[in-house]
Amino acid sequence: MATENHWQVVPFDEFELPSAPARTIMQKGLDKFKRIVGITKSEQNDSQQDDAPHYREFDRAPAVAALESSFGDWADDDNATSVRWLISPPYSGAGQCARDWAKQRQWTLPEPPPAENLSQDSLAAWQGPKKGQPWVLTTLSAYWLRDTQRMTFLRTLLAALMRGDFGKGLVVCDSWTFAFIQRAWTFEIPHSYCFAAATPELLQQVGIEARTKQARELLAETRGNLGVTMAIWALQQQENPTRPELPRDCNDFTAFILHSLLLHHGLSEQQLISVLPLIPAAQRNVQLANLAAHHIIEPKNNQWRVAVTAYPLVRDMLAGRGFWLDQF
Amino acid sequence: MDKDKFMDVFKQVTSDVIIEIALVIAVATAIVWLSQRILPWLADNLFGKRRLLVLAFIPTIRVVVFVFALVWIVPLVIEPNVQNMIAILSAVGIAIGFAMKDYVSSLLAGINAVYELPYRPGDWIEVDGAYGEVKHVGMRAVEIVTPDDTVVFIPHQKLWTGLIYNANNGGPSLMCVVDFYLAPEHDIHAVKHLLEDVALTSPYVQLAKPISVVVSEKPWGTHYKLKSYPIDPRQQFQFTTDLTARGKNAVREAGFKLASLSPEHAVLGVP
Repeated sequence: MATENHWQVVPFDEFELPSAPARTIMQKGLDKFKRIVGITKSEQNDSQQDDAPHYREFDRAPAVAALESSFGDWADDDNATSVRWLISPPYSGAGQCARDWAKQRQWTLPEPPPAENLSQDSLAAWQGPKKGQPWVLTTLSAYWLRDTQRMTFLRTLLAALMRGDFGKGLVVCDSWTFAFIQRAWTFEIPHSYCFAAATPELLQQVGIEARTKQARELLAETRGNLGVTMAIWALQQQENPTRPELPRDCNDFTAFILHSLLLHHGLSEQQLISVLPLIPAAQRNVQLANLAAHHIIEPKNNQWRVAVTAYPLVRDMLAGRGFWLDQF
Repeated sequence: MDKDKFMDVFKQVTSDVIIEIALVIAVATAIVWLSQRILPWLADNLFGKRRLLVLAFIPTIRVVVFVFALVWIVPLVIEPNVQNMIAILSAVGIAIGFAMKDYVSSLLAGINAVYELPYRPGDWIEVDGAYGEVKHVGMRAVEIVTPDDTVVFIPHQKLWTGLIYNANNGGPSLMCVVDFYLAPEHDIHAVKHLLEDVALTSPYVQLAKPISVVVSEKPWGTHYKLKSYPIDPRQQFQFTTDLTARGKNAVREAGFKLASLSPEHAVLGVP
């Protein structure tokens, strides 16, 4: 008898956050109060930094099967020309699952345009999707930068996608970019889907052996984001874990940097200058160093990214400051 | 005889009563003092609606404590019957009418301000040309801090007759307007879209609120007003600075020419 697959793809509008147990809500409130009054958790030895766990891989085949189950009929329909959207919260692994699905289906995986093309209002120079050849666009966050010049390409691309210029395809869009697109250009995007929030059963399926109560608390903390849940679970299993901690002297610039990193799913220093020209170079360097020292951000592929284990903390901080957030 | 009748209004005050009154005053003062220190400190660590909610508690707590202390103390020193109350109110009325009219008017307006809410701590108001953030709503006056870090005390009395402009009215939304002036020969729609993008790409902008550009034609060129909201009202000056700096750069980089007034218009423009 085959084991049940707890991966589920749902329409974006029907996504529901896991309910938070009262204890988790109280603990969150207490943590926030402690941060305000300046009580921080004891400092960890820096030498332990290397012991920090990396994002754990999980078997993506069941997730790909869930995608196949949801999109299979549409993918098989030769007359279907519409574009479908898969909204991916940061670190959730949805993009990688979609890539696997594309390979399984032998659909094309166009690459994002080079950075210098982002200011162009023409898609002609881009090796993009071709009509009649189904495709999957991943990491839409790489198709724009939040400055006055480099939103042009994404605007043109969105219009082309809406018109159906590229035929049938799946767009994987980071949830923060999606939130910005929806708000900034008041786009009503049809056919948008996402993976349902992780459940204790799904945690068990990917190998997390936690008691149900413990799993529920963990999922409430991570808002059902599987990748973040796995990273935090791995951290909790360590004897002396190095937990991320927001610096005491967080200010507007700190919040802007973190918000920009989430909006673009990571930025190089050069891109940060372009997106946040108002932050002086010295300030920017100090902020980045400070955030990295507190394990809030980390360098990856020449880019700064919010550390996966710090994501819930950063999202809470941005929410408290009134930033426009993703829906997850 | 009259003096005896007047003294009949008051109860005999023993040392116990004096101690009780002193205790009530001390506790009331302590609560008000603590609320005026702890709540602003707490509010400084919060943002948006939460911050304004915490700040709004400060004057409310003071009025509640004041009324509570009054209700406690008055029966300790005065026999609370109709005759006595009339006698006391008459005496107080005469005193107010002659000597403390303005002061009491401000006090009453202060109590009114707690309920009518023309301003609350955290609001940005303008009264008689003074613009700033309300830091403290006192018994007699409201204390605002201007962008130049000058404290201005405005008596609540202004409530009765003056105009009070409140830019955010108890909420976190405060519209900022930034002006741009361009030479007349250009594509207005292109500039309008560009300026909307300038606001959209500001890290300070509140994306939940609308962004709009209003255009008007002048003899010397075209006047653009870029209207948008910062995430927090306290960021309004950094926000307008960011919009102005990036807006001018964007307009220049796109090849549009900023307006420069001819000498005769420049002279006319001087007030």
